[in-house]
Amino acid sequence: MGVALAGAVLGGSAAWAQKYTAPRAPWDKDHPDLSGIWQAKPTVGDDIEKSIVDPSNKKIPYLPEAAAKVKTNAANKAKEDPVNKCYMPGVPRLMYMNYPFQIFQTPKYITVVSEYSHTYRIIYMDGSPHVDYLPFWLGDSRGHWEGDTLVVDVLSFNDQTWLDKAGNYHSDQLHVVERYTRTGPTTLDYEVTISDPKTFSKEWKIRVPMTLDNKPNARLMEYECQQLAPIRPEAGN
Amino acid sequence: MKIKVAALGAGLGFLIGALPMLAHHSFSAEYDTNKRVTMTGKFVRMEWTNPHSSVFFTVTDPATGKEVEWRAETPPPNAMVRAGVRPNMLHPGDIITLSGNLAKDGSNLMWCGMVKFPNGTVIGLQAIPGNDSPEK
Repeated sequence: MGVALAGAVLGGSAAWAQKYTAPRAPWDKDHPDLSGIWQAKPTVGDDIEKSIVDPSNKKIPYLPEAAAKVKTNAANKAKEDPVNKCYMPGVPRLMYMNYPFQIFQTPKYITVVSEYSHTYRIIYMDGSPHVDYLPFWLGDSRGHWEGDTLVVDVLSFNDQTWLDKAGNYHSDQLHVVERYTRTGPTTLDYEVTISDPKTFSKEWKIRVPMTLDNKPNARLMEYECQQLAPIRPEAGN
Repeated sequence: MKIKVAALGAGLGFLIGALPMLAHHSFSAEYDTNKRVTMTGKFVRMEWTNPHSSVFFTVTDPATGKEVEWRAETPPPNAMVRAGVRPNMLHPGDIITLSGNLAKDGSNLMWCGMVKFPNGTVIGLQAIPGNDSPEK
């Protein structure tokens, strides 16, 4: 019992996933069906350090120069946050912004459609290699299954996005590995390993719980990013 | 400091001493968590915009008898709709009550965390926003 319990704790989400068998799509009995509308808690994207599971001190292992830039970012976040300028939010930030996203699953690719500002990701599942000749705001996503966990390798980022509202950021050397594991009928464990040799001294990891919106009328709506311009100057705005 | 604004029969009154009408308020201004406010006024119109929407309404200044316009910022349309608000619930002239927080700069602006509609329906919205990001 003691050994089993320790294993469950150390194994984290993987151990839980073994207890829960996720539903399957009719055309794929071997892998979980991740389809549906998912969302993280609204505050996760405020400060991603709070979701760190490695290192244990919950601090992003910035290189000294990068740590200084984070302070500058934080001091000027209202103006400098790329999301406040209506740019695409990057990955993984897109996944834990305060907007739901819908997963559509096919044998060849898995599509993530975010409610946020017509932003979508196509995760190719056919074993094809990364596009490595062009930087993307959301990176280039290639996925595969490890048991019941969807593992997505994301590369080829630009250096224009942040990781949260607090000013945490990365360079174009960012490498993101996402792990999606259904842990219950309405829960999903989103674990992300983040590395970037130009910004971090070592890789670090976050874990964000996601919740399925399975209400009968659940649907994505539309969110257009409108610039922060005055609505009506005469109203004191 | 607590400011309470109540409807007084057909006339609308409020108890705010000074109304710095011309104080500049940018979208990035923050609200004062210590200045809770409940205001009752006459609905003018709604701006269904992101990252925040706005309710425009008027209240009558008891000192001058003049109607002054206020703006209440709310969460964006998606969040409003998910909370149960629909555009057809508000019509110009409707008496509405809004609770939330006053702007720090003293302008005629508040964050709206709750609305009471003419039919008595009360809908809670998002509490005061933590910062100015559009992620609301």
